[in-house]
Amino acid sequence: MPDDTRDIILTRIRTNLLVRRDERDVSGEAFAVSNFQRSAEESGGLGKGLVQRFEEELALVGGSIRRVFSKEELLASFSDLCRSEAYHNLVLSREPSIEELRLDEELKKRVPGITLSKVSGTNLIAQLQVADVGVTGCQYLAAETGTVVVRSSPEAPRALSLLPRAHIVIAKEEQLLSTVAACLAKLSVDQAHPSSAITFITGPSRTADIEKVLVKGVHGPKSLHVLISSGSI
Amino acid sequence: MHVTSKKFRAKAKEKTQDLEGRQKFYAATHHSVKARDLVVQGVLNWESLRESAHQIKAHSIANLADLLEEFEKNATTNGMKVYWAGTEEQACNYILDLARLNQASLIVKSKSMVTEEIELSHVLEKEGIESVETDLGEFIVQLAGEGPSHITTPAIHKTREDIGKLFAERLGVPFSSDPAHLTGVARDFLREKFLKAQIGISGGNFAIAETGDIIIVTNEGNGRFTTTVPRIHVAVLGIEKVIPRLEDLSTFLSILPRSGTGQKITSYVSLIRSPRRPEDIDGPEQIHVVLLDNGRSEILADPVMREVLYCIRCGACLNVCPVYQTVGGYTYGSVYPGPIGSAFTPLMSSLEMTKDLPYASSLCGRCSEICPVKIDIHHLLIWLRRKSVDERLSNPIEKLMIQIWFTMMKSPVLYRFMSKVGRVLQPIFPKRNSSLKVPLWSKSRDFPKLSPKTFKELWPEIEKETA
Repeated sequence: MPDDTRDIILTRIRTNLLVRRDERDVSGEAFAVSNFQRSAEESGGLGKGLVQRFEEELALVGGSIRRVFSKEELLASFSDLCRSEAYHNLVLSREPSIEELRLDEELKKRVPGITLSKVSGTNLIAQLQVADVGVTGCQYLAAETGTVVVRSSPEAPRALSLLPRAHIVIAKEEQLLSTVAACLAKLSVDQAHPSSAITFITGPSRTADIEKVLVKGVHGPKSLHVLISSGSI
Repeated sequence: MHVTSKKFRAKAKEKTQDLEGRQKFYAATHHSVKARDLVVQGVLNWESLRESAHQIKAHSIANLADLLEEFEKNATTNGMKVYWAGTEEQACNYILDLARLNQASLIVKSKSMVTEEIELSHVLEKEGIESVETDLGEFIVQLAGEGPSHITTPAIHKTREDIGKLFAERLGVPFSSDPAHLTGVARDFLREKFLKAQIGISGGNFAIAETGDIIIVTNEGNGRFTTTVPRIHVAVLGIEKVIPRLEDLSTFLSILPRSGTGQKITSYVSLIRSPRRPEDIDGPEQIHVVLLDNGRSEILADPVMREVLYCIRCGACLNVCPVYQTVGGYTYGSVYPGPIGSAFTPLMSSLEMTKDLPYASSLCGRCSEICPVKIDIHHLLIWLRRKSVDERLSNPIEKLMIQIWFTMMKSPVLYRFMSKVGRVLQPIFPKRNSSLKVPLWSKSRDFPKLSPKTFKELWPEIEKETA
């Protein structure tokens, strides 16, 4: 009976915890909350502007960032990326921030031979298996570590940023926060429409399991590009 | 949990002779420590972060029952199924039943120490269910028919040539010793498995009581695959993994990747809250959370040793340990090797079965210094030594020697007399390699020379000189 086991475990925990150690009290008093966020800001680096810090950190882990100031620049930069990296088959999320850019029409005009499709509810895995790139928006960015926070939704499924060999994120400067701690604090307040999964992504997938040699691109994407727009687009 | 620590002494002796192996371990662990030191240097408040982490863990363990109930309530509300496993058999049987019920023939696993502890793959294989490790290091050791030799770098004992040969033999690919190429081979092989598997099994680095989230910290993306593509996701967690709030996670995300792999943060941190919602187009239909006790709640009865349950499995204490660097992971005879393993394994098994482990330490204290949650590891090992003396597991001759020494040290007259005798008898003290041996001591070194005069005898002379 699993229910028995549950009660046995909980009772055993409670009973055994009654044995106290005199010199060190670990009773249920309020404990110190991490002061990481504050100190990280004090420790400098973040002062020079969040975008610059984000850019540096992301570069350190092998991601790329392009900063744009208008929709025209965004599209030009995006097309440039597709051409230079030879991305032909792109799958787009259906998030409003991506939909409003009308990437399918715009990119077709600029990049010859490009194929664009939106995430499909019926044959997602097959669609993503043959794609070069998954294109998504994001919830937040954390400057201190170069982290992109994406949440899953029917419009932006989990596999979109996982299966294709590259992941392109389209972000806005106002989504940029200082630290991962700040993102977590926002996420714990913002529970109105919780996702089934949230992923903090920092650079491409990587491993060092063979002789500690760093290799990028294991099961997840080999490349991560962030296009960050400042001002209104 | 399969423990063969009884052979520690014999195996360690063998390993110390293997100079090539020692060099390999030394290089790999040093590489990790250097990377860790580099990213830790950049954090000005590292010590207060460690203290915070320690406090959060202390609080979580002190309130473990309440937090587990809160987690269960929230996870269940979110649509996960929570199963309480008292023993490893219960945990394995639950997963086995689940696999049978869903006619699963292929299971993908992301790296998890707790599933190693309950030997889940072994149990599944015995029932004819293919269970594939998808973390590259774990995949390598699984192909070789071995277990992990390090908590965060399972194949630390293998060279690129070893791995190239292994892949050629077991996967039928041409030999290569290029890590990038070998990684690509594993990627292609495992991608197919991911897409075919009916069940994905993961561990979990943390469970959040307040939200019911399971947190998985990975680099390769296999953790995301395991929890995204298969129809059913099973997360196995030790009961000590629960922490109160989502905000508390930030402290651990600052210390775990830095201590484990020398990264500011890992490539991926997944917060898994619920199975696929009706409107979602991917994600598992079911999520089962197995909360495993397997002896942990009994550890709580010892208020000193309780601290081992604060461990977040970063592996930093292994990397700095001179014993681990010399003898490697397998010698410990436990899935949890190194200093923290030497403290944890005896509690999970028995001191009698593992009596050498508390002594597998030079007590230099580097493990305690590097531990990101400030577990006082080497003092816990001393505590276990004390327990084994209480349980009369220690060597009686050693006890006799200590008693003689103790009597001598307590009496000034006797002490002075013995130090005189010692100086007189010094010429016949055994030398290294001489036929006369003081066991253990002069086997590999000379007996140290005594000073011709004691400090007490020297003092009047010194006083005269300085006056």
